[in-house]
Order: sequence, then structure tokens, then C-alpha cells
Amino acid sequence: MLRFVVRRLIVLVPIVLGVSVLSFLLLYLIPGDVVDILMGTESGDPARLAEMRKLFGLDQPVLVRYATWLGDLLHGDLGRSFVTRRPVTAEILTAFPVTLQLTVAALVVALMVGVPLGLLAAVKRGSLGSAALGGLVLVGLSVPNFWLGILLILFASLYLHWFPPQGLLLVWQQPLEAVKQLAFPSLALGLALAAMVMRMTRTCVLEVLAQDYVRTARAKGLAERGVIGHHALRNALIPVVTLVGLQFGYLLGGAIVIEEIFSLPGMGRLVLRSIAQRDYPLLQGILLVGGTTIVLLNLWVDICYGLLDPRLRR
Amino acid sequence: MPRALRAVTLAALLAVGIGVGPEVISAQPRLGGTLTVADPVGPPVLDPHKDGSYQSSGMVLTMIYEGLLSRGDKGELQPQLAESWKVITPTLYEFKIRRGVTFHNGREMDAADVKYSFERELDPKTGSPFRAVWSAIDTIEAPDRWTVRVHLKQPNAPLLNYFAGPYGHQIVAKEAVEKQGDLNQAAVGTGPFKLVEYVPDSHLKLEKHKSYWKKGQPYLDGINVRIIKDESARLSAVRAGAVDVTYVTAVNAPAVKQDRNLVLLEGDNVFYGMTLAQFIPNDSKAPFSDKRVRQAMSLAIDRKEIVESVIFGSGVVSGPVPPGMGAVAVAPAYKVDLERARQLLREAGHPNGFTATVKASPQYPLDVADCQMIKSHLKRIGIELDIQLVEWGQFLKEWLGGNYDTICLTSGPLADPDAFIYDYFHSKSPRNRAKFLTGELDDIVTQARGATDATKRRELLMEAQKRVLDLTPVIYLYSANGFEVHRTHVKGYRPSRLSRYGLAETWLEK
Repeated sequence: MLRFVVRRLIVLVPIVLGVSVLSFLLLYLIPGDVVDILMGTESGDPARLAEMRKLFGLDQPVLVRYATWLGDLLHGDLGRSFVTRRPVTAEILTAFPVTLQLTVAALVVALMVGVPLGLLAAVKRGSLGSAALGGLVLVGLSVPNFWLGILLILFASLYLHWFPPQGLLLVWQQPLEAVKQLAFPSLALGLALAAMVMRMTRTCVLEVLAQDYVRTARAKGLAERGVIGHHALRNALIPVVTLVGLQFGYLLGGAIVIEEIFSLPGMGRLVLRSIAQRDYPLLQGILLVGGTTIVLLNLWVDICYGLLDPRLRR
Repeated sequence: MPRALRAVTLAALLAVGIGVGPEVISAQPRLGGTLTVADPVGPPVLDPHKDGSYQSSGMVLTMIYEGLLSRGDKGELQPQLAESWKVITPTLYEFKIRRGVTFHNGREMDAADVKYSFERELDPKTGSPFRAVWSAIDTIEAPDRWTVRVHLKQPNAPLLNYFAGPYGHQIVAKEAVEKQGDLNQAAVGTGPFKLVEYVPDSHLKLEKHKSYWKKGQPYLDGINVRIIKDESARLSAVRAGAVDVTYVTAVNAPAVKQDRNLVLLEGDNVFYGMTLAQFIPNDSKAPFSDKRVRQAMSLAIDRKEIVESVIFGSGVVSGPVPPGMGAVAVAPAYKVDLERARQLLREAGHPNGFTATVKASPQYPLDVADCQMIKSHLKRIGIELDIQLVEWGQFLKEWLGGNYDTICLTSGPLADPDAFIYDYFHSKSPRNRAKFLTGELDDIVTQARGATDATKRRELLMEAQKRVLDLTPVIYLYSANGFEVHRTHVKGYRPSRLSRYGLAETWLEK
């Protein structure tokens, strides 16, 4: 097992390096730079622009810029944002927890809605309620999360005269305010995943219910509740856990849109801002951290597989 | 509560309210309270000398920093950090600096700070986008602690207006810059509020500057600025009472009017009411280098229809200078004449019209809507426009690099009409945005810039505009109204043409 993990960690290095090279080149290809943005519409003097570019080090060839950046990175320095002049590490450390708590909250919503409803749909298979739940899944999967977000805001302000609290609220600092702030965004973000979880739960529970050991459990006179809760659900949840692990990356992507709509100061808004302002050091840092996170998540899922299925540990 | 009972209660409350009206709704400002403002974007840069966008300088920075001069309701110059000013000769201005003004760090501001601030902007190492404006200055001297003399390289009539902002006119504290390297980490100004906290993409917190030089002001204890990008979310927040002040676009103005808890301020004296929507052909490129082609396009465009459909009638058709800039703006009598337009195209050698591209940035939806209208209008004379939407950064690159056929763009608010005349059309101006390089307007715009006599200057500016309208290097569309929204308990809110943040005299009724 240890060898498996170590091997995967070694592979991590070239992947992250690849991410950094690719993101650097991509940035190089986007037309316009931070000087164009900062000068706005009120300038066009090439001499002034060149002067400003020099201040930002943009007059250097791209390879030199990459080498400098990589050198700093090896010293643990991600540089400073071109625009705010704050250290990139500080910017990311402020934003990352916001995105993390949003995605985790969305995950909680997905599981709390998806699992019980999926179970219900399986147990009451063939009933009108089950069909209705099937319809609900379809709606959940089809509704775009940004649209749902806007509707939730409108609904709350017009009918409840309430607007979610704003600002940098973290669950471990201001639990109540943070939960209020996260209620709608996590619902908007988690609903599609909830629909997926529900469908997966339903299928898996149905599959397990058809197994011999379930029949045996029933035959020995176990109450239906015990059969479902103890034997069926537990075994059915393994694929659901896999699904959730794999979809975490999708949630991180969805968070970009949701953060924009609900004005949450997370990684999503940071990424949009840094692209719009051509803030290269900041964007580089975000892409590096984001890429590494996804790679680590995949590693974690792989390790879980390894733990669950000994055949994969070779 | 049953509906009838609720109605009766409401009526009773209203009656009481009316009965004690004069006492309750007194003009005496109430001290204290925190106001919440929602803005779509936070300041990209906190250092007032380093940002060229109105998102910083036109917005929250106006509460933190001040300049030597400011503007009155009609746009007239007023003293601010300078108690008085004098134009001694056309190339020498003298400012008497106000005494008893303190920075947020407690130190008294004086002439040395003024000298330092402008010299900082003129230093290429600062990287200020406003160096071009201030480069008209030759030297600045501070003969004593309360006097500043500004020597110009040559007469420059608009320069005085730039001392009132909105960009790059702010006076900063030298020690704050030296301590931090720049003003992006800390903000130290003389304004009515000081910065407590800024979390980008989230919020800003400002608190009252207790020793502000205007005695008794500001009335509020503090301001919270929330950054809410989505307009419908902003509107929802102000409706729910989570936000006290925000702004909307014409689309949402009717919804605001219907809400009794909200007050809508609309007009060209509201922030953003001094902008100019334009359709800009690349004048250095065929077929747009031919005056007749540009005139034909201008004759085919129905500006009234654009105003009606794009901004729902909330604005006015404009000439080269937005009407919000007052008496110097020429009000052109545009008319739609398709026959004449076709004839001009025939004379220019395009009897069947031509195809071209028009670029706009989706960051500014009104510009995109203008493109769509113009496309349909020009089709009538055989000109096929292909609309290309380009991300803002790329748009700037292509436009400033001259890599376009035509573009739709809104500019402003700018400090002085000169920015719309000299900067746009002098063949040597780096900001000649339509690439109008024939030099036909060089004489008149240079004369207008150098004319320090107000009457003479006005005449020259009017004449320049007439010439511009004839040559049609740019096709002007409209100047849209600004829309500010606040809840009814907010009093004394005074947004100006140059800034949304008129909050020093704002107070809360409850």
C-alpha cells in the first residue's frame, strides 16, 4: 500500500510541473496584458505602455519570466499580485477556505437530499411517488445552477424580505452567519449532485435488494427496516461514495459561477478577477493550487479504491 | 393580520406620520449609523495614483482621498484642500492650501504633500496612468507651508479642471507611501472616511474620520461597501433592506419606481450621466478613411430609436461632448436620410455597400446592444456589419493597436471637454481613438486647449465640435442617464456626475 502511495506521489511532480508550463503558455496566448487593463481606455501612447510593461517585468521574454517564476516557486514564493500588490499566497489563503466550505456544504446538501430520496424511490418502486421523484431528478439535473441561484435570491428578497449576509464568513469563526450565507449557494450548487446521488442510490439499493442475502435476511424474519437500513443501504452506498469523490472536482468548477452570483469571496471570483485583469502571478498561483488540488483529490480517490479493493494495490 | 386591519393600521401610521411631519422629517441631520452600499466591482487598485479606471477613483476612493479642488452641483470648480486658487499667468497657477486638514494618520497636511503627490505621479517609476495629463506641468514649488505654485510648460486651459478629478488628483501622505512602498496595502488620505478593511471581491469597511476638516461631518459612523456583481442580486439586496444604496441600469428602473421603500435618482447629473456612447470607425483604413462613407453611416443611423430601445428612453442623443458637460456641448440636429446616405456611398464608389466588422466587449452590454441596432440600421444602405464580441482585455489591445474596422464603445466620465476634443482628434494625440490622423482638426483643437479666456475657449470648443460633426470621424450616439437607488431612510445622498459616493453629508433617518 505504501509503495502504491509513494509511486502515485512521484507521478504528481511531473503533472504539477506540466500544469504550470501549460498555464504559463496559455496566459502568454491571451491577448492584452495588465498594462492595457490598468491604463484602460484613456491611453494609447506606445512609449508609456512600454515604460509600464518594464515596471511589471513584461518586457522580458516568456522563457525568462517562467524561469524566474519557477525559481521563486522553489523557494516557496508565488510572487505578488500585479494589481493589488498583495502576496499571491495571502490572496489564495483568504479565498480558498471560502470555496472549500461552499463545496463541502454543497456536498452535504447533495447527500442529505439525495440519499434519503433515492432510498425512498427504491423502496416504493412502481408507486406514483417514485415516478414523481424520477421527474424531480430530471429537473434537478437539467436546471442550470446559476439560474437556480438567481431565482433563490429573487424569491428570498421579494417574499421573505431577506438577503443572505455578505462578506468573508467562515464556519469555524462565525458559524451562524456563515450557515445563513451558505444556505442558498450550497443548495444551488448541490442540487444537481443531489439528483445524481439520488439516482445512483436508487439503482444500487434496487440491485442490492434483489440479492440472495437480502432474501435470506427477510426469510429469517428480520424487520423490513432492518433489511433496508442494515443490509441494503450500507452496501448500496459504496458506489455513491465513489460518485461523490469523483464529482468533487465538478463542484469546484461550479463554485466559480455560484460565487459570482452570491458574491462569495472565494477562488472562483479570484480566478475571474485575475483573468479579467491579466494578473499573471495571481492566476499562475491559482492554477497551480487548483491543479494540485484536483490531482491530490484523484490520488485520494485512488487510495480509497485501493483500500476498498485489494486487487488494485499492485 | 387580516388585510383590512393591516390597511387601517397603515393608514393610521401614515396619518400620525403626516401629523408630526415637520418634527420627524426635520432637515437636522441625525448623527451615527452605518450605511451599506452595494457596488458591482471593488477598486481594482487602492493606490489612487495607479489606477485608470473609474471603479476606484470614481467610486469608493473619493471618500478616502481628496484633491485640491472639487465640483459643485453644476460642475463649477470649488475649493477643497486648496482654500483658494489663482491663475497668475496662463502658465502659472497658485493654490493657497487649507489649514487644519489632517490625514487619517493624524498628521496635518500641507503644501509639501501637494508637491509630493504630483511629483510622485510625474515620476515614471510610479507607473501612474495619469502621467500624460500632468505632464503639462513643468515644475511645482512650495514657497511656504501653505502655498503651492504650479508652473506649466505652455498654456493649458483644461488642466485646472483635472485638479478636481475624478482621476489622479488625490493628495497622499508621503510617509504612508514610503512605509508601504505604495498605497495598495494601506490608504492614508484626508477624506471624510478612512479605510478599515478591504477584502477584494467581498467588501470594504470604512469608518468616520473624526478630525475631518469640514466641522460636524461626516454624519455617518461608517460605510460598508458590499461587492455584488450581479445586477438582479444588487436590486434584491436593496429591496430586502440588506443594502441602503446601489445603482441599476435602465432595465430595472421601473421595478425600483414601483417599490415604495426605494427612491430612484435619475438624470444626467447622477454618476455615469456624463458618458458618451459612440460608434467608432477606423478612420485610417478604407473605406472609412473616406469622409463620405462616414457621413453616409451617420445619416443611416436612427439615434432616437437606439435611445428608445437600448436605454428605454432614459438619455439624450449627443454630439462630441456629452450634454452633462454644460454650455460647451453642441446639441446636433441629426436626421435620418437614407436617400442621401445611398447617394454618398455611390459617390464614394460603394454603390452596393460593403461588409465590415464591428467589435464590442460583452463586459458592457449596452455597447453590444448598440452594435445590434447599428447593424440593422446600416443594412438599409447595403452595409453588412459582422458583430464580433471580444473580451475586454483583448478589446483594448485590438482597439488601441488599430486592429479593427469599427467598434462600439462608451467612454467617460471625463474631467473636461478637452478630453473629448483634443485627446480624440489631434493627429499626434496618443489617445486619438478613431485613428483620425489627417490633421484637419489639429489647429482648432490646439487653439481650444491653449485658450485660457473662458468665452474664447467656449467659442473654440463649439467651433471644433461643428467641424467634428461635419468630418464625422466618430459617430456619436447618446449620453445615458445614471440611475441611483436608495432606501427611503437614507437622507442627503448626493451622487455627482463624477462620483457615486457623495456620502459626507448623508445621514440615516432611523
